[in-house]
Amino acid sequence: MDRHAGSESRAAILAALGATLSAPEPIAAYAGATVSFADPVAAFRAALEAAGGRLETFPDRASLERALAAAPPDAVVLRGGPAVAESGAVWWVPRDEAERRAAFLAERVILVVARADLVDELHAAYRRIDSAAPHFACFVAGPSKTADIEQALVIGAHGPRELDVYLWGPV
Amino acid sequence: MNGHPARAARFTADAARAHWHDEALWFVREKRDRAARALPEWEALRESAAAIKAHTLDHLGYYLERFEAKALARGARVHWARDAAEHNRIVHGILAARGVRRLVKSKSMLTEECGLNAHLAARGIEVVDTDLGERIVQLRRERPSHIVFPAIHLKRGEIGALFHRELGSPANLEDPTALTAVARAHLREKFLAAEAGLTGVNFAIAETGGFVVCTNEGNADLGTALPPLHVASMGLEKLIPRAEHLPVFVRLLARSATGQAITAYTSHFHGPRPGGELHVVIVDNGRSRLLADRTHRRALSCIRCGACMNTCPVYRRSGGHSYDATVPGPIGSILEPARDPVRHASLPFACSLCGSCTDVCPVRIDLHQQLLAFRGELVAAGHAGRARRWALAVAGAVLRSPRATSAAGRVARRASRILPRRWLERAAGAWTRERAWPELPRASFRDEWRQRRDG
Repeated sequence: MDRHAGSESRAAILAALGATLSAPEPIAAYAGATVSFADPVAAFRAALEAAGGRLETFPDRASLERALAAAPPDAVVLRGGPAVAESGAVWWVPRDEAERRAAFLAERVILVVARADLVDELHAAYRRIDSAAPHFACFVAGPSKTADIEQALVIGAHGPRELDVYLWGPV
Repeated sequence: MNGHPARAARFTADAARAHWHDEALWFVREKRDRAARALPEWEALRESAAAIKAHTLDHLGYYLERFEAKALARGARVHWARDAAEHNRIVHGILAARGVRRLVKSKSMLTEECGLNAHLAARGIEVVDTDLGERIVQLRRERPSHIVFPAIHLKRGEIGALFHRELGSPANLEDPTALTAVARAHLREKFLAAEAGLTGVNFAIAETGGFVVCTNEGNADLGTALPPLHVASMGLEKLIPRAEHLPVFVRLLARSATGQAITAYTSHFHGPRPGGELHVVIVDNGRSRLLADRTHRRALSCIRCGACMNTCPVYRRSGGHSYDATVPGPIGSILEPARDPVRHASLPFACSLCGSCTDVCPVRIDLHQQLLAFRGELVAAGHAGRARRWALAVAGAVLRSPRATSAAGRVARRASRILPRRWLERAAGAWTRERAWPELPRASFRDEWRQRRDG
C-alpha cells in the first residue's frame, strides 16, 4: 500500500488539529443519577416487547434446560448477559465465528441470560463487562427490524425475525 | 429565487405530500419526546455528552494518536485521508489489492459525503447499500433525504413500483412487510456474495482502539460477519476518550433518533477477526478547519441522530432534498456551508430561528445560534446574494437612524394608502406569497404617543 502518502496525510491532519501530545486531564464518566426499577423483570419485559422480542422466565436451571430441549430445531441458542432493564438489550459475545454468523443468519434466536445478570440501566451493564476484550460483541435488543418504508415497523429486516430471551434462576 | 427556496418550492408544490412528510416526521419527534421523558436523567445525560465531546474536541490530536496506537495493537490497519478523494483512493486501494469486486456497505453518511459509491463503481466494483432505506434511494439513483430514514420522502407505492422494476417483485406490492421481505431476499444474496463489508462508525474509543456501530437491521453485522475484510470509514470527530463514556451516548442516540431505548444491535469492533482484516480510514475532509472555527466547532459534536431534522419546521415542510446536501436540516445547514460556503450559502437562511433544534439536540449544540451567526458571516463574505446584501445594508442604515426610520414609516404608510395592492405585494416579494398585505395604521406609535402626551 501507499505507505508514504499515508504518513504524510497523517502528519498534515495532526498538524492541522494542533496536536497536543501530552495527555489531558481525564474527563469523568457520567456520575449522575440513573433510572432504577422496583421490578426490573417487568421493566425488561416491557422494553424487550417494545423492541419486538419476547421474554420467558424460568425459576431454575432444570426448567430452563427443559424449555431449551423443546425449542424449535432451527432456533439458534446464545448465552448472553448482562441484560438491561431500561432497553431490553442483552450483551452477547459470540463463542466463535460460526456462532457469530449463525446469530445473524438465523430466523430465530434464543438468548439465555441468568436473572442475576439483569441490571437496571446501561451504565451498570458497561461496568460489568470489558467491552473491548472480544474482537466482536454487541448489545442485542429484540430481532432485526426496520421502519424505512413509511415508518411502518417491520420485524426481520436482515437478521432474525424472532428473538426470545430466556431469563432463568434466582436474583 | 434559487438555492433552498427554489428547491423547497418544488417540494411544496405537492401540498398533500408536503403535509404527509410533515406529519411523518412529527410522529418521530413525538416518539423521541416520550423516550426522553421516560428517563429522569435525560438532561444530565445531555450535559455529560456535551462535556465529553467538548473535551475530546479540545484534545482531538491526542485522542486520535491514542486511538491509532491502540487500534494497531489490536491488529487493525489505520489510514488517514485529508479529503474525500484521498478517502476514496484509500478504500479502492484496499479493495483492489485483494481483488474485491463486490462490496456490501452499511449506512455511512461519510461515504455519501465522499461520493465513494460512484468512485468504486467507475472502477468496476459493485457497491450495494444494505440499509433498506439506503438501498431504496440507491436503486432510485438519488441521495438520502434524511440521515436516519434515507427514504422518508417516498410512499410505499413508489417503493413497490421501484422494486417491481428493479428487483422483479410482483406489481402493485405496497405492504411494508412484503416489500421488506423482497429487499431481504435480494440483499441476502448480496451479503453472501460479498468479498468485503464497509461500515461507518458511530463512536470510536481512544483508549481501546475499537469502535461501535449501531443499526436496527443488523446489516452492519451481516456485512462484517460474512466477508473476511472489513473497512470502516470514520470522520475524525467520532472519538470519545474511554469505554466508560459509551453508555451516555448509546442511551442518547436511539432515543433521539427514533424514540427507541436502544437500536437492535450496538456492535463493538476491536481488531480483525481471526484470519480476517480490519481497516479503519480516518477522514478529515474539512473537519480540522471547522475545529479551528471558534464559532462553529461545536457542530463537530454531532452524533448524527437526526432529531434536529425531525423537529425542524422548515425541514419537515421542505423535504430533505431541498437542502441539496449530504446532511440536510439544521445541523447540515452548518456543516455543509462550513465545507462549501458558496454552494450552500442559502442553507442557514432556511430557518425560522425557532430554536427547537437546540432544544432536542442530545449533545446540546447551539444550532439556531450558529445558524444566525452563519448568516452574518455569509452576508459579510458576499455569499448570500447581492439583493440580500443590499437589502440588509439599506435596512441597517435606516434602522440605525431614528430619523430615517420614522421617515421610512411615513413613506410606507402613505404608499400603502395610495398605491395599488398588487404593486405593494410585488414590492414585498416572497413575504406576501402566503400573506395578505397588512393594513398600516394612519399614524405611527410615536405620533400617537406625542398626541396623547400633549393632549
